[in-house]
Amino acid sequence: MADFFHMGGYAIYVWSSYGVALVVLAGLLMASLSGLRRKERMLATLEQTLPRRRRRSAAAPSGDEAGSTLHHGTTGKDKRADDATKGGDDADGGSDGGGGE
Amino acid sequence: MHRFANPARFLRLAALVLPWVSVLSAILFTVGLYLALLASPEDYQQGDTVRIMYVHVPAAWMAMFTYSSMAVAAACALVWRHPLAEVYSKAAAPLGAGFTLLCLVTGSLWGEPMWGTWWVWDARLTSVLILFFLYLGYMALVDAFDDPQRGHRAGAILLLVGAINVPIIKFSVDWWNTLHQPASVLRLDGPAIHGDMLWPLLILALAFKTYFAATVILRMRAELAERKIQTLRLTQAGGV
Repeated sequence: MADFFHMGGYAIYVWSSYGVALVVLAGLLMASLSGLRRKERMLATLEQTLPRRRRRSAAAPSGDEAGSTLHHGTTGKDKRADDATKGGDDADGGSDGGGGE
Repeated sequence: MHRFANPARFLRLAALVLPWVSVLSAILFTVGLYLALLASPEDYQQGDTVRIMYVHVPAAWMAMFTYSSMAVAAACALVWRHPLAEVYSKAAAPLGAGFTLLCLVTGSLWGEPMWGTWWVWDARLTSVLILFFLYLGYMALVDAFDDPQRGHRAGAILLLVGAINVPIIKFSVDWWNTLHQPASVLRLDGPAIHGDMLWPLLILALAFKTYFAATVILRMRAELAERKIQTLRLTQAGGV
């Protein structure tokens, strides 16, 4: 075991290489994940404040996790069914969704 | 190709792929690290420092792969206005910069004990350093415009111009007399490296690749959400 950590006398070079790799890869992954969460949360609150959007997201199950909002917003079929039942002013909402599709 | 130009379809596909590549990446890293650190032999000349290779070489491959894919995406963005191409380039750039930095740092940590120097201005090292600056330049340029479209256009042109650096990196060890050794895996007469060392290298290379796939999907989703936010803000500002 001591041999393993000793790395034939090159411990500092070998272990700092693997350490740097861990820091860079884990750091980028964490930053990407937290960035995604932050933006999805921002998108969710923004969609709530827009009146035209509120009705549509109210049709989706309430208490949405921030993470799943994007999926709800983009799963296509359910939303299109939603739009169809509401008719009228959803012409705009429909084309909006279409733009994202 | 245009079938996949559709962000909603991409998001559905990404949701399918993401769990698989994440699990695969975790498995590959576990197996690869076990082989690299424990099961593989030390080099008869380099001793245990050869284990740095298992990080250094996959990082270098990914640095080149990421840049090349970004350059192809830039061409698609410029020629076909492929909407996901810009999203991809922007999402991949920080990852590519990370791989390049990792390659440079581990190379330095390997160079000190084996070459007796942290750094030399030889062709391979210098061209990889330029690659690192290309990534940083692209990231700065894309965000430097008020109009995101102009930023993406400028960034795509930079990526295409900088693509000349990729073959220079690849062949620098053959064209110039460098301190850096020439290729020992990707060569015409087959790998000049023993299987006991080749396997951990290839497995960790795949681990890096699946890690990249998973992370770039997360970043692309974030970028698509960001675009939606911008659109909503514009409608909000214009509609009230």
